[in-house]
Amino acid sequence: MLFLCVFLMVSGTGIVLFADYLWRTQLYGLKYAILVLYSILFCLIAFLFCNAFFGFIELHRPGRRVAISADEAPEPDGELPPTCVLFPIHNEDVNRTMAGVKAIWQSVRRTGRSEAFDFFILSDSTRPDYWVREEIAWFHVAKELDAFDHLHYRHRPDNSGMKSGNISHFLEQWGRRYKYMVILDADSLMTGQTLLRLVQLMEAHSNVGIIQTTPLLVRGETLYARLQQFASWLYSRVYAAGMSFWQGSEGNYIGHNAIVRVKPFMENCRLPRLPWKEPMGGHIYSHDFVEAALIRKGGYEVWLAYDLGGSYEEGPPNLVAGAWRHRRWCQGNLQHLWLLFSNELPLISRCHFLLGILAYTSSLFWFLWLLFSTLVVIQFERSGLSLIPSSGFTRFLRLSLTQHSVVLFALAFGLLLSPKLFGLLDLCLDRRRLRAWGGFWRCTANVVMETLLSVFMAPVFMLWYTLFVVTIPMGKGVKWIAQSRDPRQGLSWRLACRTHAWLTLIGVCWMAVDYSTNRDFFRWMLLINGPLIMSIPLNMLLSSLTAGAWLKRHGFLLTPPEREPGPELETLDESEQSLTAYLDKLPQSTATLALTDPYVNALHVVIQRQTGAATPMPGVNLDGDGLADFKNDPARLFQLLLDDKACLAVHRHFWDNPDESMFEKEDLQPAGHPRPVCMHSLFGRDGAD
Amino acid sequence: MKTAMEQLRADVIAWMRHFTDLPSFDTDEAFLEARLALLLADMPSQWHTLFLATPPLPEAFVAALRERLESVPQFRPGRMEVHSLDLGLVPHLAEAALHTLARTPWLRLIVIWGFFISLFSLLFYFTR
Repeated sequence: MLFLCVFLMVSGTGIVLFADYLWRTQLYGLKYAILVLYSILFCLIAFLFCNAFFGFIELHRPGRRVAISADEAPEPDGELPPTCVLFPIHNEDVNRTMAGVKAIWQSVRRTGRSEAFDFFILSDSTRPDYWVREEIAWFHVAKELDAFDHLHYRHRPDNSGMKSGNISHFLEQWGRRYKYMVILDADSLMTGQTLLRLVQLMEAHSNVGIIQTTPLLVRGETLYARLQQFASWLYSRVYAAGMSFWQGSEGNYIGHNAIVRVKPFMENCRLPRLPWKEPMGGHIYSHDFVEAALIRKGGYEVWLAYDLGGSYEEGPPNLVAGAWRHRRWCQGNLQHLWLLFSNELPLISRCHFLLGILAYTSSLFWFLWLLFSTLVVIQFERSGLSLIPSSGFTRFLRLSLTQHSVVLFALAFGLLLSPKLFGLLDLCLDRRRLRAWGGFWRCTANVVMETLLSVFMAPVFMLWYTLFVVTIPMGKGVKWIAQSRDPRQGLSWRLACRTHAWLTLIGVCWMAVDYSTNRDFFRWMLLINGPLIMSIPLNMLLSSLTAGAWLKRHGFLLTPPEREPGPELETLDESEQSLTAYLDKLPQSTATLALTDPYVNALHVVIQRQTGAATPMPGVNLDGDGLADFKNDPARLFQLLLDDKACLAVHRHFWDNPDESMFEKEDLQPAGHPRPVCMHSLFGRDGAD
Repeated sequence: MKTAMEQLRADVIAWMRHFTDLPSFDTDEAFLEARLALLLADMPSQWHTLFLATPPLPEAFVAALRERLESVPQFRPGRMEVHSLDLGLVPHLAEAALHTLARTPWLRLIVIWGFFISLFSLLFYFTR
């Protein structure tokens, strides 16, 4: 209630001041539309302010906080309940995924309570090479850790229902074995202590369905990734505390880095299909919000454990990868329009839907607001009239028109910056944390740098989101593909130009119109048009590894784990390097190993059988020519790999008929290796075959 | 007459039978089990000198050959049912309208053109 009062007060003040400003300059025609758009946008920034403000108060006020961890969870005696840790993956970077699995498992082992945890790599990869690579990597890691009892791999033949379908598929096969499941993404990392604490909290609160942690970004290398990482570490603490303050036990779920009570999830959270067809209807893309709402509907609580720590993820390396990810989220969030009016779902859950929708549609509103403002200025300039301000209804403030506009600008900008300022203030009140951030001046310089670059990025994202919000309802949906997380992939000038040329063009045209209309307006609009015009070089700078490395070397945008990395992050780095070295030995067409290599073939066939995924493929032509077709057609090769008997038959055929050219030796030969990868060189002594 | 590969398969299976219970009925299946056992025992890196060696062999290697691979634990099947959700009046109306528009292309054309014409008319009216 307090939150709502402050929110209404702040947003009301801003809206009244702006309405009065328009009134003083004559409120007519398009200005009504501008007022409506401004009101929506101001409500959103007032909400951001309130979140940060109450988060700050929540973190620093004496007494009991609104948090699931406010009560100390007792250490459970004896055995922990069975808990599975799930890694749903789809054509993901195998090295990173398995390195993460390894780092988390080792961290769990260090707690001495690893017996309760089973890890599952739940793949629904559709690219044969990725699939076989996953199997080899899983075997290698499980063997190395001697963890076959606890580290499992499952591949399902299709990816229907995408991530939520993958998890449902798992639950229908093994869900009843486990009391809790922890869901992690391919780029997630969680410490063993945090996993243990999550289980303990669930045990202590039997009415809790989901506990969501706040994953912080790590391992950012490009300038863009480092900015996002810095912001997540510094600002998300107060922001998450603010969220927890108003939502309490009616929190949200973001689909990963969270623990879920399996039984109520299975009973309540099978997703319905939405009316109409994709992209606006059909299968629910942003399943997490809906699952939180459904489990709440089932009578269970959902908490945000903002103070837990030890939960990490990785972000996209550049603006284009970020925009692509947002496009997917945008589609998912827009689908929530269907659920917004359902009386069966709790009100707070519907507020989460609304906030998710506004996160993207606000960009369209902002764009329209700027567009209409430009039209009003053009209209006024063409009228040839002079501006004679009338007295408004806030005359007790005694503001001139210029002062009035400055107050409005300062208010909006102040509210926008408030989460950053509260984040910095929160840090300054804790000397120990401040030292870990490199001291006050260093941190302030970083905040200024991050803010300036955010201001530059904002108009670019505004137009990206506007494009998504307009095109998705028109039927331009997205396919579910693995997101790019590898900074080494880089961003070429060609791709930057292709993806940002339209932004530059809009910026140039808009600036030309502003310049020819009104110089004062032109100068104000440079804040928008400048970044748009510069979007291509800006994008190249932001995706630069060199810029990121330079800043890191000179101590800028450093986060605490970069100064003092924990064992999990160190293990992750080491494991990724060693796995990369190991898997780089594999040939390009890794999938063919499942047919030719005696060990990989055995491993692949047995996994298929044990997971019940083997699917007979009728009419496989086992002669050399027939198999050559499979090699060149990934979709058919995928089908062949699903058939355990066919895999065995092909393997036999390959070794019985070495002269038939069904696979070239090059297929089995990695770059730089003189001989095919078989037997010893893959699983044993390097080059000892 | 056997090919070299068939002979190797038979030798490996016969050798493995000294240590493990391989299914005897099918050569392909037995050879599959044998290959997996060798992989699990880490033969390629640790015991490569013992491949097809005459028994007795080191206990550790024999024990490793008898290990079993379980990529997943035993199934405990369950069902996740979809519960119907009342979306409320507005989505029902929207769905009905969308279906009507999809069924009647001429109506869809009128609505789309009507929307754009009204939008531009409004813009013209306010900025004239």
